[in-house]
Amino acid sequence: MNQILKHTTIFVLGWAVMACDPEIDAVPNPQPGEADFSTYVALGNSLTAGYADNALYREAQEKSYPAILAMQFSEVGGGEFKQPLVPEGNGVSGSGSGKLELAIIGGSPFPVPTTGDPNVFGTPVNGPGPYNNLGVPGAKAENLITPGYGSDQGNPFFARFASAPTTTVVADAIAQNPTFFTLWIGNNDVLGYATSGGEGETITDQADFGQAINGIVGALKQGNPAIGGAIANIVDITKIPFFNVVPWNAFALESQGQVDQLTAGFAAQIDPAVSSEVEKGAREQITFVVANQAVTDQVRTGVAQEVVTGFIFQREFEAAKVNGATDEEAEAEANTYLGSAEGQQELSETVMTVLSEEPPAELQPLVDQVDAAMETDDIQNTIEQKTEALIEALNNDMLPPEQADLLNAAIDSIYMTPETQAGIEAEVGNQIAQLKAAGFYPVFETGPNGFVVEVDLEVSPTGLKQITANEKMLLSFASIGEDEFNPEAGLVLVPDQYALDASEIAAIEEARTSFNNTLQTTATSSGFAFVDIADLFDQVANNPLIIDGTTYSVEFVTGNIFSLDGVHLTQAGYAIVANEFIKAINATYDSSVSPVSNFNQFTTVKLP
Amino acid sequence: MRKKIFTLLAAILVSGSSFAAGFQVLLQGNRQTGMGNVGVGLRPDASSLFFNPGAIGMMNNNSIAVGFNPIFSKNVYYDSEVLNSTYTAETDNPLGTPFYAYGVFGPADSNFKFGLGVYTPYGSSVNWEEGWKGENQLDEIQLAAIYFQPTVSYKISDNLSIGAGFVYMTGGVNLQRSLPIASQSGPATVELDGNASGIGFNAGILFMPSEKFSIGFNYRSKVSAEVEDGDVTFNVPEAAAALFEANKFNAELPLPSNTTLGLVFYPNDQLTLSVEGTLVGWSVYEELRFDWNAPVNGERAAVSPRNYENSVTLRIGGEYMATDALALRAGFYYDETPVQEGYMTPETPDSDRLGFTAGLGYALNEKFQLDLSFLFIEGKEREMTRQQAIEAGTIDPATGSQDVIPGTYKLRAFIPGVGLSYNF
Repeated sequence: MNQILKHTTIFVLGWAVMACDPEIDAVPNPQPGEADFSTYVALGNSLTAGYADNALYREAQEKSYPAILAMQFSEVGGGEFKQPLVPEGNGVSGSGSGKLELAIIGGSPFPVPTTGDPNVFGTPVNGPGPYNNLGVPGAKAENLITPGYGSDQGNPFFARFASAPTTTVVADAIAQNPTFFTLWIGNNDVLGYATSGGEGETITDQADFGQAINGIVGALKQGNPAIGGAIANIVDITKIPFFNVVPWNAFALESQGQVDQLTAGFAAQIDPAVSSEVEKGAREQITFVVANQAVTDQVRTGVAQEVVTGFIFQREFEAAKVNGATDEEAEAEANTYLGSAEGQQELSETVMTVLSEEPPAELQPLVDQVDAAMETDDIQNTIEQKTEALIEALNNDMLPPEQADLLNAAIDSIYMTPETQAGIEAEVGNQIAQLKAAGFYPVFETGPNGFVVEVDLEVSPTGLKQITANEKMLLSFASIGEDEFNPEAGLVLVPDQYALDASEIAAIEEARTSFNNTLQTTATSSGFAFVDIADLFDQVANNPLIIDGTTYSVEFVTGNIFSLDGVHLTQAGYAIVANEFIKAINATYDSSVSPVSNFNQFTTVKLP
Repeated sequence: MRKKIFTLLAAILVSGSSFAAGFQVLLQGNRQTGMGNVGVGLRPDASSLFFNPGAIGMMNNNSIAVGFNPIFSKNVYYDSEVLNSTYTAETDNPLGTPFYAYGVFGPADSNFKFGLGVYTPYGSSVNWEEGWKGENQLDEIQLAAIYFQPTVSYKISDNLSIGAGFVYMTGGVNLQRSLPIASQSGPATVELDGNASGIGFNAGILFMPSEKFSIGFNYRSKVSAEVEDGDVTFNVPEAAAALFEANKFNAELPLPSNTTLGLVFYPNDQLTLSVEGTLVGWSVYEELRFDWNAPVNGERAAVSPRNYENSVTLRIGGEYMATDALALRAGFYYDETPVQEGYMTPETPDSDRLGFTAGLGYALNEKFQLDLSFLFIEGKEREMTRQQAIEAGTIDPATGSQDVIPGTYKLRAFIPGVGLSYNF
């Protein structure tokens, strides 16, 4: 009986183990379609390398989006995918620090850098290449085809795994005879400018960018005319946390006292300058009026002299002719009269009468003649030149003292009139209102206020710009030193590299739009998949994704997509990107690569 | 500490997969298990304490019976919600071993019989693979209930007897899931652990109008398993700790009533055939609610709709006495799921089930009887879409709160069992 029991038990248990694995018939068998995933290479920048939390470190590298793609490709004929792995640990950033981690500071979590590991710049720990993931942190489009980018003078993130110092990223890709590639490049062509608040690197020229993309894709197609691939575009940088963590108006003032103090402070700085500018302007205007009047009077006297001389001459000439004189005799008589004391007196009296304020009616023709002469271009030019010369002479103390005193007295008397003073005051008020409206003169109230950024004088006459809702503070500002910004110590001005103003944002958007057109055109004209990552993030920014009950949004830390540097992604974020690649690839190549379904295997920002 | 030890013991002894629809466990007699789980109308044995206390009065001997049934079960999940997905996950359910122990005694010349039954009619043990897609909904659940049932039965006449037992239920629940929080100090999790108790009754009647036919009726009442001051342990990073203040919870899980009518035919001395139908009163399970002693994420309770509906189980089984000592048994049953569209949670990814059974009984001698049974359960492949879950309220698209993981599920279980009875 014991034997029977024993054998029965063995039979039963054995059958149980085999029969107990239920299978679901509906699970599909993924197909590669028209694509050949056997040798896949990934080209790009830090996002492709798996950079996260402001460092290249192993844990994030292992879940880079190309690694995720390769994992999914392995079900449809994808081969080995080798990444240039760095040692386990904190990794390293371009500036030498390690990955950012949240630490509780003052009761709330804050990203702080760990100690960087310089060994990251050593050769990959998983042996020699070739490497399928050729993402190089910091690379711009043209860097992928720049020989020497992997040399000591190039980029240390490429130098660590470049096949030779003289090679290019694309050459190292082609050497592997790739059958499929992904290309996500161009972010640094705008981002370097953007993350430095428009103060550091410049935006890549649009034509240069197009040339670089053509160079990359052309080389890949030359290497293998049958190559398949996917090209992704550039995300709207204003959607990413780096530009949204610090609100534009996070400059909070709690009390009216603070408001008053700041207002008074900026008034003390700006108002005198505005007054002085307006007063200077007013005085210049009055000086011009006075000088112009003086010159005009002088010129008019001369003109009147000529007109009246002509009039008397003509009268005497005609009188002589009536008496039977010849033209010559008449002319001589007239000149004789004009030269006589009597003629001179008449001349002088008539000139004075013509120039008087209410000349008699019989002299009106002469007055009209003088007026007409004064209107001629010659006279006007003369007046203008003489006025300028007079002002210059006055300003440079080159006039005879009596004349200068006279002019200055005239100027002062006008300047000191209540009308002038009221005008000056009104203009000062008007100027200040305009500065305030343009954000060049900060305005404060209790509660949130826009930060006051130091900008170029070309941008703002005050050198200040109080930013508004369509302008951005950078995440780097959150770590600013107290020696740079400390309202309690009176340091309320934000250095320019911590903010993007509207014109800088517009420049970035213009370039990005052009770059994205280039990327899309290149992809579609070659039959490659076009991966609209920009659209993906636009949508996520408006409507967060909810996957298995977890929300994925563009919020910093809690949004689960962006890592602690606010630019690069978390593992989950990279998985979302990988799924977007897969969607585009399946649509283009009639394939059915399985997307990532279980996001729990991809970590997000780790809380302390 | 005592409580802890008890819970641990209970988990080891009585945890089982959900191997009848819902989380009902129908393994209370290896003879009956082999016969497709029919048992209400059968001529009594000690297992009738469970199947039909009314039948005990007909017994003409005393009996002690024990048995246990190791459960090998596996659930699989496939993400049919995501286009082209090949994702699957499966459970690694711990070996559950429901057991029973019955004792029936009565004076030889009396119409009364007395009995005590200890058995495990409800339980569940589901342990999904680590890090699976639904880990934030459920990693692991252990649900166990032990019923203690003192019983009195009275034989009214030679062909009619009635009986009833008082039921005291004790048991425990342990539920573990991950929290959607990444932590520097390992995975963030929550564990609920509590002891439950409740009371009810089990009553029945057996009528044997002829040698060829008997009919039984059984009603097992609902038992409300109430957990008071269960422990809830949040393992969360310091930065999130303020969100999870609770350390105790209360909950109530209704264990439903069963109303069964069984008909038995005895075509000849060797053969017994039976058909049975049961109505299971699952509609009492409207929601799963945990009340916290302090706010969790701002809420004082976690409520998840279940809205089970009453379900029907139909069984057919037979026994053939090959020799005086050897009985051969076989049966089949259809077990309707109480879980409606959109409510298929990872703790009970339930579907209609088919049960195929076989068994044999062997009289070792006049007093000892050995019963072996084999039960194979095939759950129907069942798909739940996100839309169904939204309509059911188990997914709230506005907040993203989600009690279920849409997709396709399937269960298979294999349960060998052995029972030994001593009749005197």
